[in-house]
Amino acid sequence: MIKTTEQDFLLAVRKASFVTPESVGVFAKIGEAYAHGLDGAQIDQRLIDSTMVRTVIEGTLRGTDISVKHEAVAFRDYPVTLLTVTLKNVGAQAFAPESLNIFCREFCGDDPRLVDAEGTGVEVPEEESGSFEQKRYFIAFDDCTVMLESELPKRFHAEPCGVTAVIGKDAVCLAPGEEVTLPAITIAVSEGDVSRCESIYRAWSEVHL
Amino acid sequence: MKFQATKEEMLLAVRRLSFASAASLPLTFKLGDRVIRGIPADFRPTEVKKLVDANMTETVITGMNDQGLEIRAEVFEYRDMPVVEYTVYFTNRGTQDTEIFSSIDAIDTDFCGDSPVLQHGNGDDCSFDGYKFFEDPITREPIVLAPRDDGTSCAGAYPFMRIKFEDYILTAAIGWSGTWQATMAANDMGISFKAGQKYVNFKILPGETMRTPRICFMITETACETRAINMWRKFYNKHIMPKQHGQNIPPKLCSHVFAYKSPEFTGATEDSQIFGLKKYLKRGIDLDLWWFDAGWYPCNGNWPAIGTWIEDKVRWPHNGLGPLGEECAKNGVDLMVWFEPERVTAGSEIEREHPEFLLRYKHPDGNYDGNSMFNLGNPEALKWMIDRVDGLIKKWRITIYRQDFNFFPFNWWRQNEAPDRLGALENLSIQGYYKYWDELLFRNPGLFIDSCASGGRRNDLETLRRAVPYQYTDIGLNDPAQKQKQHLMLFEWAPYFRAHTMSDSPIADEYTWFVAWAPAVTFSPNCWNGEEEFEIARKMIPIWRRAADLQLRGDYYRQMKIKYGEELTCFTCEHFYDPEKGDGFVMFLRNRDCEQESFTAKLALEDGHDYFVENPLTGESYVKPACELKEFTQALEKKQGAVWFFQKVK
Repeated sequence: MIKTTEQDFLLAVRKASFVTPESVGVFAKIGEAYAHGLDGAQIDQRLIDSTMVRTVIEGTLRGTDISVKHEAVAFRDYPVTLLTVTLKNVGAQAFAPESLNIFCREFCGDDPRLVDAEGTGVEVPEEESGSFEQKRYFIAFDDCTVMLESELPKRFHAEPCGVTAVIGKDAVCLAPGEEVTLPAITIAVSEGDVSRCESIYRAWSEVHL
Repeated sequence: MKFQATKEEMLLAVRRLSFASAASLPLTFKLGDRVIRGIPADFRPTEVKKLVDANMTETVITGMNDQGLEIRAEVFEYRDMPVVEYTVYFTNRGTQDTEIFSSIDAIDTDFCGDSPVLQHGNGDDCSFDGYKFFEDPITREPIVLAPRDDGTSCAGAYPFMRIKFEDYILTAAIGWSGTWQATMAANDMGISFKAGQKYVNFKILPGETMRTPRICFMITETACETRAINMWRKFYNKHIMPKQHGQNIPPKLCSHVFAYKSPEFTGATEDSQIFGLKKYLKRGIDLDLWWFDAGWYPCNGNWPAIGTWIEDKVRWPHNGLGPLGEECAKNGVDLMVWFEPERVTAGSEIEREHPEFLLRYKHPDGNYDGNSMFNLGNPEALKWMIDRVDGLIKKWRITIYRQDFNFFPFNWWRQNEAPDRLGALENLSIQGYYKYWDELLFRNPGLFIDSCASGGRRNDLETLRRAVPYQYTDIGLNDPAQKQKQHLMLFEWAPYFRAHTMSDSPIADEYTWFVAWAPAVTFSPNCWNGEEEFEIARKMIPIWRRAADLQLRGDYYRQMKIKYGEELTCFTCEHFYDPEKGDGFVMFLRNRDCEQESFTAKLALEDGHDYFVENPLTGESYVKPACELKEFTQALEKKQGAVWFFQKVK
């Protein structure tokens, strides 16, 4: 049975922590401009039981009438975080950005490689282009691995110090008063290679899914 | 027998612990002149139910009245165990003070069943009378349980109890680290049960939140106490016990150099501490934890003088306890360091520079008490303390944060509360205490917390979700009678705890190790003492480790009832068995005044299997079928112990 280490959890806190408004990766492309950041952000962090801490950050997507509820459950028995984002149009007009993203994060490390769920290596694009449609991808660095899983399309591009991952979808429309909870995002972080990260994710899913 | 939830138990939980709706939430409170039950229609309640994970469903019931008073109940229904827990939060989102809450019963409900009996304890009240458990039939005459009015949760009454009916058992826990009260009485259907924060007469200010205790109920079928005990142990291991690096905290062998030339650790220096650590290791003691208790800060030999949370630079000239932390890390040993952040004495840094963080108490003679209370309910104070302590944890590589509380906050709260804010300071303080620990744990992955409050005065459910009780009492550390009584209770309720290898023997002999038999132990003769104790320790430690592992993962089978006040006349026995791995042990201890020459244990081995049986002290071993081992007899001399391990032979 896979055993988690201190380093796994240190990495999880460093790379997959969502406890401040600045960590919320919700942004929308409206024409040529981007709406990002939360106004009036409120944070509530609670211990659910000894295996889970939940942080809920609520606010309004800056420059819009979109209320954002960003819920991150950080597990204490495995280095896994589960994200759920709920959006509600509290305005009088429909909200129809060109794209709406609910996750955006730069992961730093040496020798990044993108690996899909079948274990096939995929080149990390230099610029954000196209989308990666598989449910699960691993970003493997020389000393650690990050797994991202979501039903939503993903985009990756290379950065000077690693890889930026964006998760969201195009052609979204929220009618006035409409509320939607987007598909959850699971993030697993571990020291070591893809195989180890996958084993940790499987162990977590056996207990928690 | 494998203790896991049955279909019948999960159905019982649905039937009898159905609290997850605005109408069925068993909350009762008096707001102004109005007695309100649940979250009524004029609060326009909404319910959102969702799966948190495979093991838990959460229902959040939220309502708000026209004045902006929001009530939010978070109800957790476990899917892997027949347990329901909930907490209720009252937030004033309006612009005016609320009316006065003159009572809040977090739970006020009936449970149906015949012949109810209450099993309850008196907790740790810093006396030789503590850690007792009682059994009382519940009659129409109400039974009122409440800890002493000192502001702690376990002194005088234990916030864990069982209500036994003819065909099921309710195990209840009240998660509140202050003064609570529970009342039970028989009625036509069964019993009424009410519990909540004891002293409530407060308005809630705009923007402020008050909360109730966390209420926890487990239901187990039949009146079998062994089942109730072990289902609770399973729940504790899975959902209460804090984690270290993702796993439940393992057994720990602790040690220290104590009272070297000065009380407690007020004489400890970098040199003497590192010397002591290395000496134990050199003498073959494979320590897990180096214990550094009170006195590392400037205090002139008087450890209770606190409130200056920096190192004594005379005794710790190079980066404080950093070198000790480095030495511990180098040897794979946890470093535990003592703090007592909620008490502040006169002349300390905090008293001089941040009096605004403090609550003071004036005695009837007009003089202020020498102790002030650091108010964790004050957000600025909370942030200050988090930042200061977090900084030291990181700087010195502290891996276990030990928090003590030699204080009775009740009077400090009451004197600083206006009549229309009775209970408010207590409520905000306790919320701050939880936030303080949650933040330290979040900022320091791998850290765990040892909860101490002059011993076990504050080891309620909410505390035990964040900490383990390494000093479950300050009483009877070398008293075999006390320890046996305490341990037998702790195995049932808070199975991870630590004991000292001290007894009425002049050295830590084999008997002393058996008296200390706990998931964590401290072995701390002076590290320069003679070889005999160390030789015994080196022999006993691997045996203890094997047993300690089983004490945590195994099921516990009571073998006897300790006789309060006559513990040393008892022949004590404890038996643990893990059906998953097919292993277990039984430990026997004949006490000093025990005239009984032998004891027969009833072992929970599995029929139809053979077991390899081994006594690691005598070297005896054999293989026998379970049917021949079910009644296992051990004869002993006075002040002698024995342990046998069993392993199912495949």
